[in-house]
Amino acid sequence: MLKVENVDKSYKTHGFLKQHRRKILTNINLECQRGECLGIIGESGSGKSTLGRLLIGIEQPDCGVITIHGKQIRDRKQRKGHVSVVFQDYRSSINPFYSVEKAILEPLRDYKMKEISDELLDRLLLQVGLSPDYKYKYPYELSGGEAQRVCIARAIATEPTFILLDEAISSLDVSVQLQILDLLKTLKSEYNMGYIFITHDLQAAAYICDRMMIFKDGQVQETIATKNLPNVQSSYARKLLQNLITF
Amino acid sequence: MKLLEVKHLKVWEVQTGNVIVHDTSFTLEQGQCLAIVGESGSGKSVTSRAIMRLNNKNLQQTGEIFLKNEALHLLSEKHMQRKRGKNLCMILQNGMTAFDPSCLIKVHLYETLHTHFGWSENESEQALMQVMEKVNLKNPQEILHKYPHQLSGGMLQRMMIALALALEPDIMIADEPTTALDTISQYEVVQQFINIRQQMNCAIIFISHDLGVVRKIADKVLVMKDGEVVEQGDVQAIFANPQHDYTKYLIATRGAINDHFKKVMGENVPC
Ligand SMILES: Nc1ncnc2c1ncn2[C@@H]1O[C@H](COP(=O)(O)OP(=O)(O)OP(=O)(O)O)[C@@H](O)[C@H]1O
Ligand SMILES: Nc1ncnc2c1ncn2[C@@H]1O[C@H](COP(=O)(O)OP(=O)(O)OP(=O)(O)O)[C@@H](O)[C@H]1O
Ligand SMILES: [Mg+2]
Ligand SMILES: [Mg+2]
Repeated sequence: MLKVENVDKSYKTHGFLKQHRRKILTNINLECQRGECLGIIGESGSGKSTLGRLLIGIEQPDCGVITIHGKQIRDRKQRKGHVSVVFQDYRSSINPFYSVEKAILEPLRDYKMKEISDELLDRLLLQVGLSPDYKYKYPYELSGGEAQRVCIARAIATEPTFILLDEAISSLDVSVQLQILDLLKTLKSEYNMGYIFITHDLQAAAYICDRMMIFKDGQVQETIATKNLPNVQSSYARKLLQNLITF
Repeated sequence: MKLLEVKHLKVWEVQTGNVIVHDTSFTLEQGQCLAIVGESGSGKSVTSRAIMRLNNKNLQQTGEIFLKNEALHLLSEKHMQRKRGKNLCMILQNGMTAFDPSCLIKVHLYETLHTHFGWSENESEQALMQVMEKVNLKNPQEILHKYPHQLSGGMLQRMMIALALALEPDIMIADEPTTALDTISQYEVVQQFINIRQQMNCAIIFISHDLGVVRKIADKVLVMKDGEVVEQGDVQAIFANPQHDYTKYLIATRGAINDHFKKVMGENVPC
């Protein structure tokens, strides 16, 4: 289980008068079980990616604790093999000098997995809807959606217990989106993976998430089961739904 | 009046000879919005970068591109540079790569506005404050004094849109400009795109996989698959009555996610 308790986070800002800190996250509490998908929906700039960086332990909260299976996430050894991530800024998260093959297999090498066969790589690429020929390409040769899918393949390669997906399907056309969402659903039930699914796409969230957390100004407005989405209480959540441009 | 005319555009990879965009032609009228939709990897970004002549050097292009009857494909790089920004302005798919990571956001913005309008820092700041508000960016002063990595994805995206609004270009090319935005900010931004078309007579090329947004703001749509335009024409007509199998498929798959959403929402589906 991934658990966040009473977490605060602030960053320094360079105001004109004096240096002060701006609070980004205030008193965040959440839990995500294995086999569960928790959606985080909210205003742009409200601190979703910041929370994501805390969840995977690459930044530390000012106060509060984050644990995975009861152990502190700060501890790099605890994280290994348990948590992987697809960053919102997917382009700069792939080393520009790595081929797709190297980029995807990089985390596996790290864990000293025994046989890294070409088969695994080909299967991963096919699963995210790319032809196996893509393994020879370099990041600058990839379209936005292709780069994003390479990151997804890399994240699922290690079969982690939790994956943080930060706007991970935002650059994909709808048919590929559906394919990826279905893949994630399958992995979730097969390997009992848990997802933290950060998105602004309410419809995609409704498709995959079991619960959704509505986020504004660094605070949780409300957490609801997806099936209760029509009954959201907070005014912000209602406004989000009203402004949705549906097809 | 024809503002932009692209004739027989072809883009290929020099080393392998692999063709990425095949024989593509389209036109854009003043005040019009043309949407490009299609499969991931179908050549939407490459096509739009070809108009700006900004593709990576390992790609080459042929074909004719006219902006107000001026042949862009014949211009020297130096002249082309002057067209970028004031005449043709591009909002990149990835906000992070658009700004120099080593300088404050304001440096790039002030520089661009100075090059095109000769504005002082003060004038630029005033102009930017106005447009930033339009795209729902709060605390503009604070944002201008941050480094790119200190802004969220959606903030960077809106920063690029704000700059484009300030530049008032003839043609704005927006590559997935609303991907990182929550529904409320997205609504504001879409509204801005609709406004500038009406007020400034600016034409827009709008690349998006969000068919809902496309239907709301575009007049014409171009559907791409594997580097080819499989269908183009009036948005309402194509969405109501798609001819090509791929277009039908595209519309049907959104259906699957959409239908689920409708089921969850029951009677409460917003429109
Ligand atoms: N390294 C940093 N230094 C200072 N401020 C930061 C830093 N990283 C993020 N911020 C600020 O924290 C706030 C939240 O940013 P964050 O990236 O978490 O938003 P987000 O909810 O992911 O938004 P989006 O939906 O647009 O991606 C923003 O105001 C941003 O400017
Ligand atoms: N510099 C390059 N060198 C070689 N191939 C490239 C280069 N840039 C793009 N490609 C290839 O050209 C194809 C079209 O890319 P493009 O970026 O135009 O796709 P797109 O339609 O914008 O897709 P997305 O929706 O995923 O962003 C892709 O298959 C990509 O791999
Ligand atoms: Mg973010
Ligand atoms: Mg693209």
